[in-house]
Amino acid sequence: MSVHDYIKESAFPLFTCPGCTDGVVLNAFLRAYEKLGYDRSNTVLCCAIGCAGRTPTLLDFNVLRVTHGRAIAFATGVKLAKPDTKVIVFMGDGDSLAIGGNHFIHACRRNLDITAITFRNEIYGMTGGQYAPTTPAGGIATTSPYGMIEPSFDGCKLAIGSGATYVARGDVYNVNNLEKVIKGAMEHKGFSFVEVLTTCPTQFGRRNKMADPVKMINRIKDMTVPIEKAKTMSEDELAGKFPTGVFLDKEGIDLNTRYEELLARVQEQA
Amino acid sequence: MEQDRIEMRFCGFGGQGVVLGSVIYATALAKEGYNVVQSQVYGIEARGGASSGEAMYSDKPIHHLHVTQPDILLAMSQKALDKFIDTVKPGGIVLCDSFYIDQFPKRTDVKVYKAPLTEIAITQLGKELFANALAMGFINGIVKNVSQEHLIEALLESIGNKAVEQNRKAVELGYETGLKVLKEQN
Amino acid sequence: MANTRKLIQGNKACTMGAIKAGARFCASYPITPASEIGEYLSEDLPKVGGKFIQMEDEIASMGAVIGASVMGVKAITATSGAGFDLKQENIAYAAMTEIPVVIVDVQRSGPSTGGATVCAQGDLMQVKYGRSGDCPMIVLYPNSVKEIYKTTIRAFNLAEKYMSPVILLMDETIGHMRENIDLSEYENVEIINRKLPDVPPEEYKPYEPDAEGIVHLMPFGNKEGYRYVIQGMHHGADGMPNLSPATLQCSLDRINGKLDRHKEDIWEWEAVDLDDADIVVVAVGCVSRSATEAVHAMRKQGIKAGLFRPITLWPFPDEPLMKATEHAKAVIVPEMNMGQLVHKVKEYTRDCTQVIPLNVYDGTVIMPEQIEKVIKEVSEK
Repeated sequence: MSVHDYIKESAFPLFTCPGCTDGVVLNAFLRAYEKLGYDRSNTVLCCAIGCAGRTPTLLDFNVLRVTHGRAIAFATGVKLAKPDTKVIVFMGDGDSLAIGGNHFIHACRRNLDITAITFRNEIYGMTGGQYAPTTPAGGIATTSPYGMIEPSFDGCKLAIGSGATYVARGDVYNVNNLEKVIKGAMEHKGFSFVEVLTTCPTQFGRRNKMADPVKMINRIKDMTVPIEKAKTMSEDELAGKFPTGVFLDKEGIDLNTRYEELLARVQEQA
Repeated sequence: MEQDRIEMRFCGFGGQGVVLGSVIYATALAKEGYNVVQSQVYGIEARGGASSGEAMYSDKPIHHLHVTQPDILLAMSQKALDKFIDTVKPGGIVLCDSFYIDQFPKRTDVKVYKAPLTEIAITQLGKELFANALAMGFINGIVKNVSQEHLIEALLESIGNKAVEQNRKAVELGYETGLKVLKEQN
Repeated sequence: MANTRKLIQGNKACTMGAIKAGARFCASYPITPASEIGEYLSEDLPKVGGKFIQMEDEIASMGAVIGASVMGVKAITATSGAGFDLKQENIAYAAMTEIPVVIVDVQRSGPSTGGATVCAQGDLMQVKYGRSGDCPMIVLYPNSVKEIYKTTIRAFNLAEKYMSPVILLMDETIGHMRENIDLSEYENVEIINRKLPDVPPEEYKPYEPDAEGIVHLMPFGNKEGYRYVIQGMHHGADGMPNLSPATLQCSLDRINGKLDRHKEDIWEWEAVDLDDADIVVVAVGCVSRSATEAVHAMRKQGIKAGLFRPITLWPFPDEPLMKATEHAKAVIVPEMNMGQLVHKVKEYTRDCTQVIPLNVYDGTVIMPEQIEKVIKEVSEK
């Protein structure tokens, strides 16, 4: 299979804006998926609303695109109903960390064996540029015209704190790392989470003096630092930086394994 | 059956297991072949006040949802008796646990039978817990509407076969008490 | 005869019906008076290889059951009014994407927290009209423990047959009531499973309805290579987002039209002494039991009363109601709310028929005597 075989050309032209980097994430996912040699017949892509949520509909997979924030909730049913299914969830940052935050932390806690990918573009793009729980301090959005005053969420720390067993960050500048961490996430047994720093020139860039897509990608380059290097840096040096790479990769019994044990126990008693 | 349906109410204070009692008795009635409806009314009044379970049975289909005029009232506390005594059907039967009740109904159109059920449970079975099972047998000793075997089966099913011998003994002791009381107080 | 008849709680009967119908997944969130449904299924589903999960909220539990159904596993969730509010979002999704699931609403007194153990019939309109858009719904409303069992099976059958969510509406009183029921007659009850595509994957259009107006959605995770998108935006036959006027109209016509077209199959109602009735009581759920008693009592007194009881509440059995009330001089509508069913009754009775509401919303169930009183007043006029 070539990566192109996974793309549904009938779904083109793209709905995304010029300069959008959502496609970069999709590309990294497809390359990782292809390398892993997975079978589409037992793969389900879940996603929801917003730009990130719509991207998987461009792929020739079984795609369950649901209500805003709920992709992980639906994925829980998918995974429990058919445990051998490979489930990858694509979400925006508002999708996963705001409206879907509850589902996100509980899937981490359960160590549900799925891969969740959050596109962190720091804004609500599809709805017209409102601030997200990831919008940086002072960031201008249509609902923060005087600058963002709320602190932002670190998706990786949230996932680690909630019990996920694989947590990584990638970005759309360093695509090799992105493909690597997504591949690692899909190979992992248990809840795997990848936060991807993406760019939205139209809704975030234009309002924050970065309308040029290249400028935005360069910002990502400046913002990111590999985990190994980050470990050698002081707190001051790390201010405003996003370490990238794998934060956590540990073994843990996933929900389905626990459930299979329960079923065996109950049926033995019967 | 002459009547369309017989209505039973089981009342006491929360924790005495009167709702469970209604389930047990209703189960026994079902085993007897009747059409049975068991229900309960929840609500603020059930907390700390009078708790109550209901059973209705008939040869015919029952459409009624709740007991309104019980033919048989089991009262395990004074408060519960006071609350429900006026609802008892004229000619009905009122069974009182005289361990918790000292003011008995003044109504002359109902038959009142009393026995210190809780006391018997404590002194002869070692635990107040068995008062409920004892009460089941007591009712049957008076009204004899189910077979003792069905009643014991129903009890054991409802409580998951715990303390089988003691519960069986409680039902039987209650039944004998009922027979005795019926003789003495009639 | 006696020993085969067991005393079963209404909520338990629902779970037994679900398992009989083939349900193998339940996701729910605790709420009185529906909690027993999750409790029983958490115990009983694993015994038949099924799974139960208590999700983090009502929204998630609704999502999870749809997810399971997408994989071809029959799924059920249960809640009560305040939790139902939260489920609406994803119930609408299931209606839009035509995923069969069964949602149980054991009603309690509302709005909001209202009364957890207080019997009320306040959700009659919510189950049909509580969602955005023109969202179709099948709602079934049993009135006894035995009927809960039977109707739960029917709910799954209709869901699978018409590729639609189905709501099983119940009253607290019936959910918590125990009745002894003989289920032997249902041993060989028909169990319907959704139709699978009859075209090869390369020709497959998931949202192309068959001659009956029904879509054939291949479960995800299939080995045959059927790949498509399920999503809640308006979509054409290929399932992809499409907001063209033609697609929009077609999409709404499809999800609503299939129920309208097959309404006679979906409708179920009970008629008690209706043939010559000039006073007709229209009642649902627990109230219909009191109404049955009332009608029988009135007949004994020579008053020609009858009962029309919708078991299918939505789509509303309008034509059967019109027929049932054709010769009635008055129609009485007792219900445990401030007046919901009565609006539909008014809509489908003749202008010259007097429609009398009887509303009780203090938490007490409507008793036969209350209905008898109204019937007598009308008959004496």
